[in-house]
Amino acid sequence: MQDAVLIIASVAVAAGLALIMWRELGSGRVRRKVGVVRDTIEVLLPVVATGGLVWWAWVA
Amino acid sequence: MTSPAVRITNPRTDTPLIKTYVELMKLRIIELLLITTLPAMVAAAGGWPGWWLTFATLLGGTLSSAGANAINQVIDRDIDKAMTRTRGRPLPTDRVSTTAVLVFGSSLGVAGFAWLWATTNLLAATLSTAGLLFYVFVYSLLLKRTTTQNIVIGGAAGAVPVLVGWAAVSNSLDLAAWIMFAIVFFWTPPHFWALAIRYREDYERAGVPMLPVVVGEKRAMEHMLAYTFVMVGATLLLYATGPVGWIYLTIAAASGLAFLAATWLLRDHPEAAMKYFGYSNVYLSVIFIAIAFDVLVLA
Repeated sequence: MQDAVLIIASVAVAAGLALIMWRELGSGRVRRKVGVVRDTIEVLLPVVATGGLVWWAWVA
Repeated sequence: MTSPAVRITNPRTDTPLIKTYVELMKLRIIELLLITTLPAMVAAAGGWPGWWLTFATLLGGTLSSAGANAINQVIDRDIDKAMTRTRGRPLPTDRVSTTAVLVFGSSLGVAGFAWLWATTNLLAATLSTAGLLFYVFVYSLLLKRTTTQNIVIGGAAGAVPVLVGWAAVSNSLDLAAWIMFAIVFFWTPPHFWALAIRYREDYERAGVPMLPVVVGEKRAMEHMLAYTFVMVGATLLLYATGPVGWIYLTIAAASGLAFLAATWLLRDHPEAAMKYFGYSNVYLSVIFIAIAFDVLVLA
């Protein structure tokens, strides 16, 4: 049961992160108030950290 | 009726000073922070963490959060004055000086650190203070006025209390603590963007680049859905890896689906933004109460 939930959770997180990257980075030209480097870092920081968390969940 | 001799008030507004200082602490926000702290403690302990440790941790967390809230109001006093929702706060209405609030906020922060170090451990004290510093320097000073990601990254400050709660019990930070952190972290954007949808003109007037102001409501709601997916995924991840069982899983799955549905429906009903905002508070409370309940019942 836990394995099945781990898979479902990982898929949900991955789908959400993919959607975040698509909408955030895709709309950058419209919404960006800071430079592109800082903006990209701000978007990717939580995405990478969360990816790391899911990886930790798999290996723990 | 109290006589004027015993009622200490601000001569400019006749508001009791104690009421003003209580307002600066924003205790209603702290209430929600504490709802996440205690279940984290229960999860770390695998049961009831003890009355004294619970009281000490919640008090320390309150001191740190209140300090952060007060200092934030010094930084945001021009924004608060420009916004209808906040122009009645103590600083925009000149009920208290900025110096007094800075001293008050800093004192609360120092007291929170000292209290937590004395009654729990250095890790919990450091985390609580790190949350305060992050809220002040990263969110309020660096992000809030410059980027639509302000509440995404800045929201980490609101997720710190679960780490404080866990650390106070175990003097460490395990995977489960970070998953709970992620739940609150990814809950924060949909929660605050709903508020920003409701008060869009206010934020626009104040020049704060909240996402709905910059990209419009419809696109902001698409972002909200994305963050909600990650948040619900994180709640399920806690069952898959952590100290909770089937009671939590059932509640998390059901309430997660309901919250996803609410986020989806908001797209066609932006006028329900404040209802959604209120519902997001209920959702987070349900998730964390479910954590505590599951651990206490199944332990």
